[in-house]
Amino acid sequence: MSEVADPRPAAGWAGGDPDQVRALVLRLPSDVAIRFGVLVLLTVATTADILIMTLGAATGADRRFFTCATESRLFTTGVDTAAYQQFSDCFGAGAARLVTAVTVTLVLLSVVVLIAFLAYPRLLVRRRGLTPLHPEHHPELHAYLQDLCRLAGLARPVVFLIDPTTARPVGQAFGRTRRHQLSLGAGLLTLYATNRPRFRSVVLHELAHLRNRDVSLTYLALVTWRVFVALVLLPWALVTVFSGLWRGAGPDRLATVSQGLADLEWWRVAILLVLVFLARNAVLRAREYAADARAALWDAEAESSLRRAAMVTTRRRWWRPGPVLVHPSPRNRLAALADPVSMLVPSIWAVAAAGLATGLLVKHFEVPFFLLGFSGARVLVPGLLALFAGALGGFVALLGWRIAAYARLRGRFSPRLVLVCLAAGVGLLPATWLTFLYPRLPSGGATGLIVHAAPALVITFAVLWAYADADRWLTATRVERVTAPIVRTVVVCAVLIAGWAGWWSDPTWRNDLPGLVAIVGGVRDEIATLGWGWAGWLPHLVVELPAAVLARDVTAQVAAILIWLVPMAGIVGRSRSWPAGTIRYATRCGLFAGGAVLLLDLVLRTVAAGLKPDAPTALNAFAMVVASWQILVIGLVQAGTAVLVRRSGPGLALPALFAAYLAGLLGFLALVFNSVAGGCLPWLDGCGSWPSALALSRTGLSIPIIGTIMAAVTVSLLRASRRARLAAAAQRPPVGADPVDDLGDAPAAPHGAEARRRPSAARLAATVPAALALIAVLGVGLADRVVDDAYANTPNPLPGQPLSGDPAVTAAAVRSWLRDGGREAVDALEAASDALNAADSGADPAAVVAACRQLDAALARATQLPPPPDAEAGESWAKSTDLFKKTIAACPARPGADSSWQSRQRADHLTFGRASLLVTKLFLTGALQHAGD
Amino acid sequence: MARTAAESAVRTLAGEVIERAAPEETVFFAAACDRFLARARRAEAAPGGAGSRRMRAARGGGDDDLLGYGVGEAVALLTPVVLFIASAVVQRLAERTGDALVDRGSVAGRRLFRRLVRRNRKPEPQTTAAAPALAVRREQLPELRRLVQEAAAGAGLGEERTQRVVQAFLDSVRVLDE
Repeated sequence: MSEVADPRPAAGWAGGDPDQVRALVLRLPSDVAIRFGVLVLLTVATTADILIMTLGAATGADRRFFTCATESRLFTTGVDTAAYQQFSDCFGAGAARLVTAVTVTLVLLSVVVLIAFLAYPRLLVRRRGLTPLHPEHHPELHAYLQDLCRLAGLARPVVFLIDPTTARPVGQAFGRTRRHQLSLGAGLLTLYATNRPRFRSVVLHELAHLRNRDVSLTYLALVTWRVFVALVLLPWALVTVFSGLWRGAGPDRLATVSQGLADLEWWRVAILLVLVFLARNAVLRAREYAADARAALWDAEAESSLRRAAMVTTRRRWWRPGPVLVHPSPRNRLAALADPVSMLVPSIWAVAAAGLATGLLVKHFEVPFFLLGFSGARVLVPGLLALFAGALGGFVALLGWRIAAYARLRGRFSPRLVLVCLAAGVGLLPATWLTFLYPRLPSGGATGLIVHAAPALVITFAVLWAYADADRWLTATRVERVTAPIVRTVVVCAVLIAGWAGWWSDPTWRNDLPGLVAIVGGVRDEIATLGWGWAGWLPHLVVELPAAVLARDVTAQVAAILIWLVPMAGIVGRSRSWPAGTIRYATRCGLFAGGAVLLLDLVLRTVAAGLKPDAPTALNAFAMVVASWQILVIGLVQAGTAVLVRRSGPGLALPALFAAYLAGLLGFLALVFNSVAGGCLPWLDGCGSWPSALALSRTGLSIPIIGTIMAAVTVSLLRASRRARLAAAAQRPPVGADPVDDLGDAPAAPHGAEARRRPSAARLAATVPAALALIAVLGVGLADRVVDDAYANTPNPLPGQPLSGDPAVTAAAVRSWLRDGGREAVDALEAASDALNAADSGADPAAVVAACRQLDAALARATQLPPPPDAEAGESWAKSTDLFKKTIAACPARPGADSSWQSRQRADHLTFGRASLLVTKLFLTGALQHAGD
Repeated sequence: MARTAAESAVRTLAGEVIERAAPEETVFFAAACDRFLARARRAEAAPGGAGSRRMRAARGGGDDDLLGYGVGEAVALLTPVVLFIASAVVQRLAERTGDALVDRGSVAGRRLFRRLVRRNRKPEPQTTAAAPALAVRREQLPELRRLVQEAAAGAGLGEERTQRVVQAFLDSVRVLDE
């Protein structure tokens, strides 16, 4: 999407004054930070990927892995502790070597980047012949430049340099933080005499780079790119090509090089390279908008001069599209100058790239973390989780703040912002296909859609949460002090995402969806025996699935608590957010709602008493359904309470949230009361016999209640202890009239109508239950349908037909294939390849010839079979047989008749053939395990 | 900065021309001249094609523009052209007439001439003294005019700027009447 936004004038929050708007925009985290983060993550991920490939081959770790796995017979018989221990003993040393090599190389590269970054200013001065502008030679010009520095408010002096090589009217800010330098091109210096406003605007633009503190980031980006190309990419390409040329012979050389590149999946590296290049250019482009805005903020004449400069027609080169350029197009610069608010909306591509970079980082560090496990450090899941949550949490928080400020300044929540929110989650997904690891999750069909849509939706919600958090802060606090709130949002977002990462069967390190679907499906079948139809299974789906996913791990529970607790705790101490009358009104509504829950639950129990099944076997399902209805009743009352309070007047968003908390808390107490006392009523069966206790056992159901209790206690304690400070804060003048009016409790506020149109933090936060319910209903419903369709459409699968879908069906077909000769074929190929490997290792020419013949015979039997009835196993099976054919082709006709390159080729084909055979067995075993065999 | 007499002659001549024809470029003239002469020294030390390399030296590099302001067409600067022409003038005068053409005080051309014909010998001692204005005989003024005019036209200057540069050159040399 274009970086040009709607150039409408900003209004509302900042009073429509462009300078005020620019000041607000420049105080918020810039787009440069997001893009620079993308660049760093992409570079690190790509470097790690290339290093693992190169060093894995150089140290022999890749072959060692497959050899150890084959010899220990890992993966062949399911989870075998003894086999794993044998594999670990065999591969542990190789893993340690590889991890050490990768780590040391990464550290060395970082050191090189640092040295190059520190040396860059001196190199630039020397290479371009920059000479200092001496005050004694040019006193008037020097004094003029010092005036501009004072206007820019720079804390440290700037060293001005003359660049005689540049005829264009440009300058360039560079240098480190403590010694900023600014080169003035020869073309620019002539403007000092001939076009002073233009000279002033360009110098102010360059000083704005220093003030925006983007100079270091920019040069770090540039140096990172150059070091990456020189020390990572080029060596990798040279090693790949020349090792192929050396290993091949005659006409086979090109084929060997081609095969080497194909084995390393050169296209994937090429895509990663292009991504890093585009990220670098994106960093360079983004900084220019902010510098223009800063210069325009300092000097109105500079703004008009910058506009005139941008309007100078420049030659357009059709073969250089926008993402390739290192400077924004004049059109985009003009648009950003005319409408500084547009700078707050990151381009959808940049946001998607942030998600992609995070995904790639996680995927590419999966192997090092996995290998670290051999040293006894259990860092795989915690390490990946920390990387994932840290990186994405930072992006999400910055994105939320920018979007919140955009919506505030525009006075509305543009639909385009939803796309921006969605882009982060969608960008996460392609990372699965840009790694050399096999995607372990279904990539097609409805199940694949669910698996991949869930992270996208959850990340979208994370952005919306960050938006709501930022919006609340922007409403209640002074915008001059946003650093601490932004850091807080980053931390909370990271924790939330870490927790939510456990909610979905994510494409990074877990695959729990089939198990989850099976559990929910089993309970659904049980409920179906009641014969209640949708009234039975729908509440079950809505309630049971969140409860099931929340119960998975501690981080998920923490995240669920934080959803509700953080906004509550955060608003305490903000007197303008909590006028006394408002909180009393919200408390009354919450108490009333609690009473309503008490009565409604009694009615529900009474109705349920009449529907209670006679069969004792159905009582459990009945109890679950009634408990689900109880929870739904509480949720509905909470939602109704929030709506009631919110609609009472503008500015009641947060009190509405508080009322919903109270409703949930009292509703839970009502369930307990009815279970203990209400059940003793004459028309109900006995005290304490009703299934409300089931609600207490549901982690997912109890967590919001725990959160509510904690929030209420926190609010009470903080409110009591900070009463005096709140009173003082209430006297503080507001930032703008609008936010204060929005938070007041006067329904007839002058800006009330506008405030109603504005996005509300609570409205978005209140979408949590709705979003979860939607995910649950759509996700489980679709997944169940997939299972049903698999059973309905393939009742009798034929061996040899690749299948996807139902694991049970696939497993049955795999069993059939193994029984009909597959097992013997696999074993024969394995034995023959092992024998050839041993003969090659022993350098026994006669044994080599014998083993070759044995492999030939085994291959002849194997090729008579159909491929395994599993898509992935079939693919690796075909690969292994093809490699074994090449192995046999490289066998000597008689003992000692092969050349050295021939034996090398045979060894290569044999190694990869054995590896593919091992992978085949892995997939076959996995297919059987999925079905519980 | 230490410099040879020939370089001093080029610097003096070009500086006077710039002051007359493009005073707004005097701010960076010294830096541009230093860079031009340094690159010209390297260019002449290399075998073949010194002329075109001198022109490139005068124009400058600017290969790291990706971090600059990014907007704006290049300004047609006179300094590189004038430096190039001044260098050519000094060299031509030295080649044609040797010491006879050049004033006794104007040792620049002589030393440059010697340096050109004895390239492999030990380099001339450098001096920091500013060279006086280049002196030519009156009958040589047409040749100087033609030389500057051709060089300026070859550098792509327009008619008006060419005339301005030619006049500035003629005004900057000292005419010997005898």
